[in-house]
Amino acid sequence: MDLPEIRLYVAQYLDSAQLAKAATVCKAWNTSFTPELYRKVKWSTGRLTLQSEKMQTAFQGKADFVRDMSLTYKRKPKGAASLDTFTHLENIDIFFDTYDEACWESLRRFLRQNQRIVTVKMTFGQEGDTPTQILRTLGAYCPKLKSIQVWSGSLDQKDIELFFSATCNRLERFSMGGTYLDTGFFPRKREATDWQLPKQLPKLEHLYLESSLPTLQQIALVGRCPRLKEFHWYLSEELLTDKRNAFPVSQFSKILATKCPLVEGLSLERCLLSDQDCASIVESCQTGISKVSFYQTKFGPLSLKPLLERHSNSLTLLNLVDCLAVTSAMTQQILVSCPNLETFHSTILNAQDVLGVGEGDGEDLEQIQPQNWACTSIRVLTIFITGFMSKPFHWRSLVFQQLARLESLEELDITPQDGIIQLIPRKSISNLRVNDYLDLRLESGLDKLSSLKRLRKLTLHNLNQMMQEKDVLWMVEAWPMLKAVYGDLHHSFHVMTALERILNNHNIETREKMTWFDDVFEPLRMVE
Amino acid sequence: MPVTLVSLDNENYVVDKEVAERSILIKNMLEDVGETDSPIPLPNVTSTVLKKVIEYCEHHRNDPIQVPDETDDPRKRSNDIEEWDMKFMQVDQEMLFEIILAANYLDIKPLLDVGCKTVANIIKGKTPEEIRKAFNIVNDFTPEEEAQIRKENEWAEDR
Repeated sequence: MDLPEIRLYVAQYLDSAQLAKAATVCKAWNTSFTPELYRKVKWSTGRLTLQSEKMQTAFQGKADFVRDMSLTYKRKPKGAASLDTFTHLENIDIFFDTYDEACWESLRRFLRQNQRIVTVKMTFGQEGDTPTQILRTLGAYCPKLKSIQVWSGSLDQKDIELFFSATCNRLERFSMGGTYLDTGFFPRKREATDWQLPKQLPKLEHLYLESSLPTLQQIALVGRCPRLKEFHWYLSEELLTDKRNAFPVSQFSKILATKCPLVEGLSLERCLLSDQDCASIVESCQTGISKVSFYQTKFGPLSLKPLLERHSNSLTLLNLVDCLAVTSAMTQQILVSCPNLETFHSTILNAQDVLGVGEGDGEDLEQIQPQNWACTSIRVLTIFITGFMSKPFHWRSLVFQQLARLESLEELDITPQDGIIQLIPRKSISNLRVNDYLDLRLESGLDKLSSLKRLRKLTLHNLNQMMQEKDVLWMVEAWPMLKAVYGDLHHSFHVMTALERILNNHNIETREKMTWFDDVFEPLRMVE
Repeated sequence: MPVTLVSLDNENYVVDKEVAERSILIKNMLEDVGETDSPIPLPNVTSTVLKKVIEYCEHHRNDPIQVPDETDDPRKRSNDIEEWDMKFMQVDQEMLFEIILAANYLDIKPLLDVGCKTVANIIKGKTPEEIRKAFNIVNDFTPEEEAQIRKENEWAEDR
């Protein structure tokens, strides 16, 4: 009993070892499973272990099946690292980790021989020169290319122009981050020379830019993408080209309002925009955007108003990390007004605002009637919950009750961000631990959270938690999906280590540094 | 509003519209014809299988619609089958494959997933010979051919 139709579906649940066994069962299974076994590969042109040499040699023999390659370029490929046989690749993720100019031509040849390429991601690991003419090679030789991402490294203007003119009618995604534009002897000199941009990029949906390119040219580029869905702009001050001139907010807002009617995702990060600027940009978006990030900006009450008025029902992602103008009351307002939020990174939330009581009130349990959070489909929540110190004990369990309503929650991070910590009075500047926080102990009402059956990850750095064995055992028992707990379970290192051991024994990871940054930006990815 | 489904062997099943619409095929059919009382013929599904599929759809009638997630791990996990689904899938192999085929034809993605996970779990941890036995497959390789394939794929086995 066996069905050829379903083998492909089944294959996606098998790892390499199982696929290899399945491919040995009979001729029919071999035909179905061999291409799946060789579909993806991690490749290195550097020194290989015996094991990876064996693997790469095997893949060279089945190169026609390989579609996706994650490639680390350390030196000119030869022998078991040779890339000559691969001509059917569709998705390539290249980490370029060498200075060697001899590699440039070899990389270009490799791209030329793979004319079915659809997506390319390139990360340049070393400072300094990066291969020239890479973009134009892709533009000229890869007629199916739809998506390109370039992280760090330097590109020259001519290369970008030629690339755009070759691909403008098919390009769906263009991302560029951490790169700088090479304009000759002084690579960072920013005379805004006129760019030869295509008249229109009719299919472009995702655009990720950053501030090392001339601002006005970038705004012009945005205006030429009528199907733009997601727009990400990283505008850090040190990279801003036109420092003397203010960011042309009105011009940008006008372009968003008139030329890009389909924008659903907007992210303007680390920029110099004022709260008023953010507000006019939010206002210029058509009603119903779903993803918004104003990470590390002055986003504040003025911008929140149009955001909630126009977009509260459509918002699924909101990132306000390190927005110090975002108050606890604003955070609460977002939680009660956005029913479809799935990811929310905010700054601070005071118990007082959750309970809806004024300063000095809230003694009487009967009188507290918290407004329920609307965002019950939320999956990822980052929020520092505080304001319990010298307040009635039952406040904690009332806050737990609100959290307990978020039954879809998969990731919860209650770490105070650095900017917030700076605002809190502490014993000493160097002491980053905070004393007023949501106490995750059964005696404070942790057991209210037993409804969070989908919780996978809990993060709690920089808090003086005092969890005990029974609290940790309760988490393991109550949250069946739990895979990681990062942060300090107890302020005593000794106790914390013991608690972490319990978690590790239940296959739960502990102690990672804060990496939410990686999730939000998909930035430089380090490959070994 | 109830909907009548007709199996290959002409059995009629009356189910809630909400239940029937777990099948994207039926959902699209209903959207195309609009309000209708006429029964929906499902000429690819026998009554025994249809009964089973309806049981699944009844149980999962209130589940949220699955949206494909781009960030999904490319290698999906098969060890996360719900308890009810696991019991539901405890059928003989012929029935298992019939259900998967029906799920594929009726376009019920979560049922197709659960079916394929169940098959994957049968394959897991088994040697090729054990897999053949489990699915009653005849080995049509010569010993030389089989040895050759093993050698080629050896890198994957000892990882």
